[in-house]
Amino acid sequence: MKSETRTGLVVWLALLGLLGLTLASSYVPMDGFNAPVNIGIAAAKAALVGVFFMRLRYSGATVRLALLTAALMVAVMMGLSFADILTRGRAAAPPRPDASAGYGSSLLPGGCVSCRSTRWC
Amino acid sequence: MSNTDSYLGAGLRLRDWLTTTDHKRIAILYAMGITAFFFVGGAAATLIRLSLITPQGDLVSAETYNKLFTVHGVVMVWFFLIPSIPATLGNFLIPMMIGAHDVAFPRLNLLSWYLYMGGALFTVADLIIGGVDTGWTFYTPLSTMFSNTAVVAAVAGVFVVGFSSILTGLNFIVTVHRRRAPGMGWFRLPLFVWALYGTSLILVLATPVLAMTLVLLAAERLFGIGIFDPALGGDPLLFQHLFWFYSHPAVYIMILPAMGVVSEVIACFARKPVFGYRMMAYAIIGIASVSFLVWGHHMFVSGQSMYAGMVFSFLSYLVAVPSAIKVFNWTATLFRGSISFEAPMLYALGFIGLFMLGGLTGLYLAALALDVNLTDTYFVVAHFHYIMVGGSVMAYFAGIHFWWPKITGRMYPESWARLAAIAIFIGFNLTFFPQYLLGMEGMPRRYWEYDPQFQVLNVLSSAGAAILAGGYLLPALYLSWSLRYGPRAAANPWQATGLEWQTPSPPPEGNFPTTPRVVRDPYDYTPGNRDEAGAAMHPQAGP
Amino acid sequence: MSAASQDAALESAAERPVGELGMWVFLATEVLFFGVLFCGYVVMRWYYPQGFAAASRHTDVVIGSANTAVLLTSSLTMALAVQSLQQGAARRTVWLLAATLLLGAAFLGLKLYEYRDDYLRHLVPWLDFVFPGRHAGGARLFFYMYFVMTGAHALHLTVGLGVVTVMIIGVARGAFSRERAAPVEVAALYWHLIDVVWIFLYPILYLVART
Repeated sequence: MKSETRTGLVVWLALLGLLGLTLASSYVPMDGFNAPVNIGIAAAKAALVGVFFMRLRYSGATVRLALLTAALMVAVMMGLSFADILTRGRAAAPPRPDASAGYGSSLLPGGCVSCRSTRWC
Repeated sequence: MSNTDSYLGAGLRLRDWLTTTDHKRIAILYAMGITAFFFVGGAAATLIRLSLITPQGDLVSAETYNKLFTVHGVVMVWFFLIPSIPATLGNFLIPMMIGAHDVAFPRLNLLSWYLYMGGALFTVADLIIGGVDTGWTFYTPLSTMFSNTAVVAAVAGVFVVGFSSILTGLNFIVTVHRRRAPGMGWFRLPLFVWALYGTSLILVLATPVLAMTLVLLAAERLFGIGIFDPALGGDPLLFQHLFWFYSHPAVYIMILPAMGVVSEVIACFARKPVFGYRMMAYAIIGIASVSFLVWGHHMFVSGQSMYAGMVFSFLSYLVAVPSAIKVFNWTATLFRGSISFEAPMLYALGFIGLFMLGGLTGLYLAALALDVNLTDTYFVVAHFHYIMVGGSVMAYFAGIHFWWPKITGRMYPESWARLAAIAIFIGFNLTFFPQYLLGMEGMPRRYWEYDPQFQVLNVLSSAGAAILAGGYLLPALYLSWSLRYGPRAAANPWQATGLEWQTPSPPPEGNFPTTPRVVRDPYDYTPGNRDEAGAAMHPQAGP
Repeated sequence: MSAASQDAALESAAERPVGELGMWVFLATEVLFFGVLFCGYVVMRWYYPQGFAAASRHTDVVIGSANTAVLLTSSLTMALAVQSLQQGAARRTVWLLAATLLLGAAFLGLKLYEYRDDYLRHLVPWLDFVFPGRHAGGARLFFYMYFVMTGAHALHLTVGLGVVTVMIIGVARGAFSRERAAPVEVAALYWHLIDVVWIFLYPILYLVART
């Protein structure tokens, strides 16, 4: 078996292993850390696909820069949107049918933490 | 050189043009579409200005007025300004300036044009037959819940045109990376190419966001549920965040190419190398980068968090730094230059002045507290027209005149061109300067009627618009005339540097007989010496 | 340097390959394209953590996980197909591409079956949406994002199936070979990106709150 083929199979097994891991971890209560673990495993899987299957290990700086820029832009989009959403406070918060105390509310004092709309509750 | 050897002479049937993959012919195809849409958008503007002569809105109904400013905005932003310089001059010049025979993906280039024409015609038909009253910004929840007009059809066309932008940007990026002639290093690229490269980055990184946001908007309207609908727990401000994530950088899609054109023209007619060439290139990339961080300044009074507003206000000021670098460097290029005032130079000088006024009033609007008073007034309208019309359109005309001999092989009539440049400058200022004053006095934008106290300034503005319209019609006439009767142009009528001037006018099909080899830096002008044609080419010219 | 070799050097500089970079730039636009959906998802999940958690429990984790495995495997066969084409084994390439096509089609089949199931369980938010409990509002937005995101993904996969079909025909006819492998390499990049998008969709749609 050619070494490249073997690498491919090993990466595939690693991907399936990570799939099993992320699935299994979701059934273990981790007190809020389930989501970060899941996203971390997804990032690892994406990195494996990128580096080995998409041959990023062989590509030049321009290609890597293109990918990096795109990822950075998504981060900017989410980051600056959340700069608004996390600090918006009571006045302009959208109705929050199932908001619960403490989580998912504004980080600022005075933020809405109680149910203000009953339409879908 | 006879015309039959040029790109214009190779195949004259309609079919030859509609199936061409020559970047120069595609540029011409774009130019025709863009010119047509410019006059559609201009017609809407004319009706708006006519209606605003009287405070009561005598000419059109309120609904029609809303539809008119939507036509004007959608057509001018997406079907004229965004493709204007990139798709016409960019398409024509990028391969020539870097010494390539065509763009990286010629067939994709033609596909971009079809997407552009298809999407734009569809939307324009929708806007004229059905009409849309949301303005070009399609804000939710107006566009999703309340508007009874054909919003979905309008955004569908804009979506398609977005893919034309993406493919054009992609094509330019790969072309600049992979098709530069030997010796054409990154810091030998003309600033026009740098500017178009920065523009392409924005086209590629921002346009997909607009496309997906419009999909979400259309889905929300069609399905009656979505993430922007406050009644169902969505967040209408999220739409504005995503919309301006595209649409603020889109402003730089319009102005960066203009800066590129002006750099070329000023260097040529001041007979001097551009001052601070590297800094100019860095400033272009700086503007392109910072453009993605400032969108929230469109949302200061939208209900956005004031803390986010402060961050966006601060970041918006940052844009002024690279922009000022560019203005200072143009001025320094002029300093002690051997300046002559041909029509392209008149437009370019007009650009600098108007861009400065537009840019400085942008600082007013970036100031959080001041913006609360000025937002949604005519001050904003005047500000962005100074950038987009005083900036981009002036530069587009500068470029069209500057490269007209290269594109068509004919000279345009110089005195008429100067007259038009001056008429446009005067007409423009008369139209839009009063709007600054109107905004300061508090006249809101997008209103069909207004308080009678504003009438004098509105009449002035409408009078200016008449002069401006005349100014825009002049080039349409004399440029068409010159196609047939203009004197034939030499290869390099301006004694300019740059590879595009080293090949015949109009250029042959593959641009260069052999791939040129670049041995000198750009803007190799010697002050005062008009016979010194700078940039070297051909293998023989190398050491 | 002789004139001939100099000309050759000039020509090779002007004819550098463009396909790979072009595809990567396109993939960058795709990242932004899906980025909007991820951004919308994250914002809505921030507003409605409990609604999203409750709704995610109503997705079919068996089909979701199986589909992830199917798509990961299709990426393997695609990567192996590119390798074998670069080694000149056209016949093996055709088989591997056919396997990729089959796995992709299997994914779509499973996905459509899942959509049907969702419909029967009244989870389509713009039709007869019914959700028990007090988190129906957030759950409805979850399922809206679920359909938009998986729909956009399925659309890309469908395009991918078409592209792979063209590649199979091209390799079988000898149009694409070891000497002209770029189109298959570039198509493979697109296929892998669809896989990467799904890798992120899987945990945020199926695994939000399984504990």
